[in-house]
Amino acid sequence: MRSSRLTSFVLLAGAVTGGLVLEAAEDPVTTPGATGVEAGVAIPAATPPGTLSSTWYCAGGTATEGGFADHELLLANPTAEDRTATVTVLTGDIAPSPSPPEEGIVGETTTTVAEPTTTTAPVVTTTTTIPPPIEPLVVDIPAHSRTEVALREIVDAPLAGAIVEVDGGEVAVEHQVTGDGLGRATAPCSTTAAREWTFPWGVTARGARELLVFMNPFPDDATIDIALATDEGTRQVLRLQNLVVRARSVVGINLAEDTRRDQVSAQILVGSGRLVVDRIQTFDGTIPPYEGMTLGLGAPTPAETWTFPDGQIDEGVTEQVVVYNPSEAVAEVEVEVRLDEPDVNGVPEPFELTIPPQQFSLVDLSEVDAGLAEGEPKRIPNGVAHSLIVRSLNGVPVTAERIVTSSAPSAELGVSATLGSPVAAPTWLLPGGGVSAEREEYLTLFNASPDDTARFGVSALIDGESVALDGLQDLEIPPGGRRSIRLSDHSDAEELPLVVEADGPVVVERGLYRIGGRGISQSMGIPLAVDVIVPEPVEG
Amino acid sequence: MEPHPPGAEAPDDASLAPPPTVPAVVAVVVARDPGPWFEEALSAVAGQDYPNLSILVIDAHSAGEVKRRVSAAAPGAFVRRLDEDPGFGAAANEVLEVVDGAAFYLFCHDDVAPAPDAVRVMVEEAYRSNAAVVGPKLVAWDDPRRLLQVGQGMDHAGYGVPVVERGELDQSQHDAVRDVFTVPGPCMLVRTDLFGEVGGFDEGISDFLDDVSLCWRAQIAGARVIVAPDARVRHQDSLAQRFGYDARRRLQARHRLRIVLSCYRPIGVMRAVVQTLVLNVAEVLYGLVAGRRKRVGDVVFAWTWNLRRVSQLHAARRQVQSFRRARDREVRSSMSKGSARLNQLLRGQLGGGDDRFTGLARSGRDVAGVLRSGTLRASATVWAVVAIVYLAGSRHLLTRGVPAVGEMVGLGSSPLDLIRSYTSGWRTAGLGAEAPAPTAFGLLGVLGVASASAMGVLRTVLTVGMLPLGALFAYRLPGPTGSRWAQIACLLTYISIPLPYNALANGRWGALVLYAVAPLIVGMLARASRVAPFGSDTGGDDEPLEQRARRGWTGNVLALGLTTALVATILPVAVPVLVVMALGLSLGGILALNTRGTVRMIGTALGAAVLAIGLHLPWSLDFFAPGTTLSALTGASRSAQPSDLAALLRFEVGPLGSAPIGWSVLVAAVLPLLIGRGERHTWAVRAWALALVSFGAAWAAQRGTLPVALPPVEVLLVPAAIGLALAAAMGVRAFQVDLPGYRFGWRQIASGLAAAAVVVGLIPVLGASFDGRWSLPAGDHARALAFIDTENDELPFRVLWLGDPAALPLGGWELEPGLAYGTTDAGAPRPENLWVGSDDGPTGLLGEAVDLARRGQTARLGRLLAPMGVRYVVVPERLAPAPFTSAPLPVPGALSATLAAQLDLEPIDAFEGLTVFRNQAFLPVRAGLPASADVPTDGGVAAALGLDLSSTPAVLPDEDGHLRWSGPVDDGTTVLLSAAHSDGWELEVDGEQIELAEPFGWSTGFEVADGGEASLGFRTPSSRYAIVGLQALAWLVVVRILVRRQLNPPGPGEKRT
Repeated sequence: MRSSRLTSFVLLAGAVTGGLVLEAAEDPVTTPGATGVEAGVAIPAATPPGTLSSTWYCAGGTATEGGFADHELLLANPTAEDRTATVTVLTGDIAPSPSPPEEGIVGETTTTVAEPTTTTAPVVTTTTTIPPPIEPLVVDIPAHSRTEVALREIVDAPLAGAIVEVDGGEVAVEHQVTGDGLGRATAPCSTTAAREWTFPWGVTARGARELLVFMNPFPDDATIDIALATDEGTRQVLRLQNLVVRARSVVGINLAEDTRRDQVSAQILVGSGRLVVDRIQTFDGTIPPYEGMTLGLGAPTPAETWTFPDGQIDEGVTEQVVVYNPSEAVAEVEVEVRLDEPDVNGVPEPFELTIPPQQFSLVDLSEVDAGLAEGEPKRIPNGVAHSLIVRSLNGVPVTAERIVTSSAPSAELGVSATLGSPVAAPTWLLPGGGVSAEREEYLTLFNASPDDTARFGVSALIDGESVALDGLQDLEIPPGGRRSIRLSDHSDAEELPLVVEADGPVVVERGLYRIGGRGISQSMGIPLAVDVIVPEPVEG
Repeated sequence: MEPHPPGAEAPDDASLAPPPTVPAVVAVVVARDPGPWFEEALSAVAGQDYPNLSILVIDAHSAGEVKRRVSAAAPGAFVRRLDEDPGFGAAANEVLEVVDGAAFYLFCHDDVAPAPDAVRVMVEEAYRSNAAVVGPKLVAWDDPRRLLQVGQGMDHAGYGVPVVERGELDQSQHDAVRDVFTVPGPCMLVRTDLFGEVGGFDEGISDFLDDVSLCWRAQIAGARVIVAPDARVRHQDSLAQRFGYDARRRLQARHRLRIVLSCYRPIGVMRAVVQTLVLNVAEVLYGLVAGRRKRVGDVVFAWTWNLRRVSQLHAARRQVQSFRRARDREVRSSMSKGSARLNQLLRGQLGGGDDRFTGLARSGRDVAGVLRSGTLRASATVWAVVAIVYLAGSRHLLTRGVPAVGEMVGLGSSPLDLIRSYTSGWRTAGLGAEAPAPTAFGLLGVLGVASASAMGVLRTVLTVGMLPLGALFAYRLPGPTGSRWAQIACLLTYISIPLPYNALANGRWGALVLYAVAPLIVGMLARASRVAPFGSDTGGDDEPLEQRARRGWTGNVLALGLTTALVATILPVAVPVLVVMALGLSLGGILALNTRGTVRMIGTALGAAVLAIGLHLPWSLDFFAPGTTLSALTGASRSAQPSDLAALLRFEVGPLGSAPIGWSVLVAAVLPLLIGRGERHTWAVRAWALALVSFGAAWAAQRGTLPVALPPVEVLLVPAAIGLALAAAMGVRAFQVDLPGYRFGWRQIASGLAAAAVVVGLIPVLGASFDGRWSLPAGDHARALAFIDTENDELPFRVLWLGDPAALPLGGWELEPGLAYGTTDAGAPRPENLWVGSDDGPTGLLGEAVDLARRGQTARLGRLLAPMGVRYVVVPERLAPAPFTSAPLPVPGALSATLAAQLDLEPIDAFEGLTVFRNQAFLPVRAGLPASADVPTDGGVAAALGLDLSSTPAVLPDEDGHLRWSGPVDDGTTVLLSAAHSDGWELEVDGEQIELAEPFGWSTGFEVADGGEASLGFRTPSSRYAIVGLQALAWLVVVRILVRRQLNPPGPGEKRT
């Protein structure tokens, strides 16, 4: 009996103890990544094959005669099946200007450097009534083709955005705005509506207009607060607090009416509801080197790594990187400039940035070598193409935007602002673009793999067929390298929606350049949400 | 004229006497194998000084010679012999056949001896008081100074309220003539016209309480009932001796119920039934506590006996109505206030008295005597404290109701709705299905009817009442050890375990029910094993061991199967849990190197499981149907907030159980493993093995390591709770039996620590009782969503619920671990939404639609849900919204983002913790589509994506009954019913049946060419009614067998048939 008692006691106690020890010995639960970067959310992405439907939100643009940003949709269907899209146009207006500015600053109520002041602001309704609903337009997108929809032909409104609902996947949607004398800017539409958006860059100085276009595609009103970060700290403008964006409408806010700064980062926090926010930045040429216009989404999600495949500085060509830290912690960030042919051009030291919460940091690649004596090797040599990689070193996610200006003596004139890509994928779609005597198009690919060579091919959707472009098949990109292609060397199609397919994760950027006039538009391609990866912030 | 009984044999010396000047009285003496006192009794009747008295002796088929004895003792008496003994009342009613012309009948048992002037006094008082029924003062046969009865009062439930204490010394203190409700039955004077009018004694009452019935009906007829104490009658009280104590009590119970059911008017009888039911429940509980199964059996027998005689009851009620002159209110005014039975129960509980004649004084003496007994005093004290703590801890739930959180859904307002849901062949959960309904609908419906539609009270009893019920069964579990201290330890340990309070706080009704019954189940399994002390060397506390052993395997299976079936009504997974419990106990036997009884125990469990499954047929087949996932049985249960093993060992799956006090239960349960010997040690190891199996299952469920869906962790931990409580009880028994065999040392210290742990473990429970609701939220989602019903008025719609299974106030289907969906018709969940069965079939389309949105395949979830009648999507992220609770039960963040990103779901302002979306693409559940609408007939859930049906009007607004609606329908309308396609749906327009269609490939539709008045309904197949009848019959048969076995145990050597 004594032995049986001991045996049973040991067994029972052992079972309990064993369980406790087993549990204690297990690895602690790992917390999920801080950012949760996801294709389709952090960056617009085409839905995979077999998808029931896909929805795109194109917020910014005008839809009236003589509008400064004539809004046009570009829908590309790279599949072998016809698709149908339902385009629902939402209209709105630009919010009225605030009271006349005093002492040169318009409407500012508080100014802080480190900590933003919380103010109780009255609710500002941007429109008194919800715009009447507009009958949706059903458009066909034949297989291997592109369909263009000019919103001005559907509605007449100061501002018009569109919801594009496609009856399947793999379709990509871009939109472009064209301004009289400002050129044309093309960018992907959004595949998400988010509760937070950041725009690292923005200029509200005289001669510039930074128009944020808020599109609320949902049946409930949304409220937003906009915080502006300048070189003097965070500014909260009364007009931009508790702003109501009515259901199924768009509204534009011209930040230049509230503050005048050479660099403004904007952070939009959506209190209730969800929004899509585009930025239309225009310059009338009074503040060199800026001239022309840009179009682009904000960043709905910060990330630890942003990749910019293309870059170059030269005479008349400037390049800046603005990194914004939307979080509550200090971000330690590194900006790596990866020059072509590093054996020849060298490997420049990365730029290291310390960015306080809700603040930005700007790296002007054109100015970093300004103090060098003549003959000394430049850190970023002129005329050497490069890629940029912005990475957070301490895990605090940031948003990063690259600004390129081109003015005399450069042949191209204009300005472009492009958010980097937080992801890499094997397949990218580029609905817009085309080459002609007046327009040049470049395609730049970056191999996100530090170890493997990427092989890729480019095909175009021409006349209902997918055409493999000559000379653009089975090309290679070295690990971590880049490759730039001038498309006019391979095609002369004025409408040139492209599909880039690689055997590994790459990042694809497109540049559109007007010849003989203003107009530079650079933007990331649209990845197909298949085999998407999020690059590690620190190279293995 | 002297009455002459024509059918009776004339006395030998019958002679022509001079015409009397006083009313004729016929003494009717019913003789039934009278004892030696008979001659003395007859002589006393014959010796009356009343001048016009005849005697009729009814010989109720006595075995012995009666006529000769009558002739000797009362030469002038008539004798009428019956061929059988129909009982006193029916025998006495013979007087109506054989006597004519009398003014009064004096009904006498054969064991009463009236004083010489008794009849005269009663007749005089009858005239003086204008009374129709007069009773004497009944005194003891052998000691006439002792009072037996001087009439008695009556409470509303038919329980007597004695005027005197039985055996009280007669000092003329009760000698005033007074109105009473009943007079002493052994001797009573009744006016003949009244007796004839009321039809004599109620022949449905064979013995006992026939006097009560007669007096009650006399008062209904408007007659007065008095007692004339100057008339003294000695009484032998042989009837009770002849029948035996148990039979007398049982007969009284059944006759009392018959009287109540037959004498009140309809409304009165309903009220009386409720009162009686409440009393009976209390009586049953008392019987269970006190170990008086026979008393429990009496209650059950009384109901079954009467329910079997419904037609007789109807006849009796019709007869009463035929002579009714007094309303119930007038009769009740002469009854006693309060409950006589409750008073007796309260006294009898402590005093051990079981006699309705027990007086207050005697009860008081008994109480004092009993309390001088140490263990009983301790038991009484513990139970009193437990009762106070439970009442205090549940006070707000008892007074303000139980909120509808978790599984504790509201039962609706009418039990008939539940019964209709039960009998109908259509399940409304999800998109509906033609499937058997859960037995719970029927059982809850019947209970609702029995509780006079007091559904709120019933729900409170079935939820909060599980706490004391579990305590009660836990107290009873170690009864066979013969140690009341072990019982107390088991009770205290069981109630100190945080599990039930956490289960209540988490809204886990099923776990509560299992907690209540688990000790009973373990006890039955233990008895099935026949391992000492549950089987071989000691008897139970109230049932001889031999008797239990004779019950055999069949009896154990029946009892355990019925118990399990009852639990499975609320918690279907109880059936496999039963088997696991048996396996756990058996594993303990192996660990203790004592496998005796293992096969019997497992065999009994398996048999009981099969029986339980059988009793739930055809519902139980639902769980085995193709396509049914295991979660349909277990529930979509895994919460998003897992507990670690240490927390599980402390039962900390809710607000209670934190360390260090939470460990006390384990400490207390360790003792028998250290000091126990023999059977104590064996059962302690068995109990611990049961607990560890339970802990292991809960741990696996929380970690998701098993590839099968497991029940809620609260359910999984119940066997652990009872295992530890049983171990603690064995520890006490070991302390009593084994410890004295050891020298003083660590074992004594360990015993002290264990005892202290039991006490310390109670502290959190005491603390938890302060809020009066055991941490249950004060409100629920239904309250917060009341606006939904208001907003929709008569628009038929569904609500889709999405959230953590622990947060959903209904049963759901799992989308992924920690995320489930369910539906309700309109806002508040009902029982139909709790046991939802499988989502195989069209209901699964709801989940498919949500999945499509979650995978980013659509931003038009509202359109996908529109054909399903879903107007609202509700996402609870707490058990109840703010401010009722703050504990989060979040849904995956991606789901919130998905819903917020839908273009046709409009967020609605709601309480914190509750997110509500209104579907702007909503289609009413009964919609009238124009014929031009191009509704696809296939394509599954995605078929609706391209359709905008949001402006479709509702049709058939008038509800004509369960699953039946009507209203006008226009020409060229397609009536679309958002329910799974079934041939059972029928639409008639102006009497013409419309052909059934299948819109969307799963729905139900009718294309109406020529409009008119339409009626839509579900036709329940007749086979469904037959199945329901068979199921009810099966339950009744099992109950009947068990009751009969309980009430009529076989004698030694007798074999059951």
